[in-house]
Amino acid sequence: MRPVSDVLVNNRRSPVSLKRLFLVFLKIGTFAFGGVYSMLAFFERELVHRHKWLTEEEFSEAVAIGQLTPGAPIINTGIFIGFYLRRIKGALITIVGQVLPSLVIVILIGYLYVRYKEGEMAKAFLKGVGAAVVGLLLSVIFKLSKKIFKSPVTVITGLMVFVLSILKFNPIALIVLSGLTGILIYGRQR
Amino acid sequence: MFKFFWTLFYINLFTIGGGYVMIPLLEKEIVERYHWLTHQEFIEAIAIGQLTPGPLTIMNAFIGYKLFGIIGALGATVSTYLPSFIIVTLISHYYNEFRSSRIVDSAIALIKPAVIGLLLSTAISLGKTSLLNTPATIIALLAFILITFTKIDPTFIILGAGLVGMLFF
Repeated sequence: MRPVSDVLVNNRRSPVSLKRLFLVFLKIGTFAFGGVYSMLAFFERELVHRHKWLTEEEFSEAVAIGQLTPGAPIINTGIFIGFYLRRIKGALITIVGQVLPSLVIVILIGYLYVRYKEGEMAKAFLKGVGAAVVGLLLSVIFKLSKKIFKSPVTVITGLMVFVLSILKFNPIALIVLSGLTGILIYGRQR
Repeated sequence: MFKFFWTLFYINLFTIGGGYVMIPLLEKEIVERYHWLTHQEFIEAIAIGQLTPGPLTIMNAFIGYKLFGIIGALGATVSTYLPSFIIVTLISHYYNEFRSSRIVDSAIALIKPAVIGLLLSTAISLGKTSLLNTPATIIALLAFILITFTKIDPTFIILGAGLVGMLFF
């Protein structure tokens, strides 16, 4: 793999306008339904193939950064790309573009929710939805497990955290502890 | 209200290893510690987060709206994405140092399996709230199978589950 500094050489011909950056991220924020992978595919189509603002390599770096930083990975990938193309203003504008459509939808649903949630139909609807959420979580767990449990250490960590979490240990403390253990185990190997 | 915003801010600082990590953290702080939502309302918030085109983390805006109206929704959004904005911008600035450091990679290597353990424990606790009868359990199983083994968008599966719920409950 090439050194990172070679991957990110920002030698654009002309800077991307903030307005176009906003509009593209607004489009992503409006139409990128579905899981993370369909969202990333959408990103790639818009930014790499259609507008050619990033190379494939720069894009995969942005995806990696999104996963290594705290918060929603997809938003972080957007922030990184925005900052890369237009610094602070670019970073802010990608967040607004990505979040705005969902925020409007959430407020609309929230309004309906607060108003109608006591109705019989709404209650029945929410019960069905609540059951599906548990199925969704189990599916996320299933897919992550297939991808991540590849060594005894990872399986033991997962199991221990599960047991401690059932015993009401604080999840933030468990995340921090697992991270520190990771540094102890893998940090020195090269 | 500011306590709520601050809670979202630090939860997002520790949301490492994917957006779903937020669910166990929110459950602990929002539901169990401060009792801002019941378990049932929390499940509904997750579903609503899933119904939008954006990231699941937008569910925080719904929680904010439910608790404090529009101001709550806007404040929750800012508190949710501000940590990301600060950290990613800083990292972009110190990009080479960050990517060549082994510390981040090795920490995340074990945070990822930890997240699975946390999510499983949360799924069990939420299941106790929402899977109270056979039809609900069947809906959950069907949702699991459809989301895992088909390419149907989870948004439609959740909406469909709601409609099925209207027939059965």
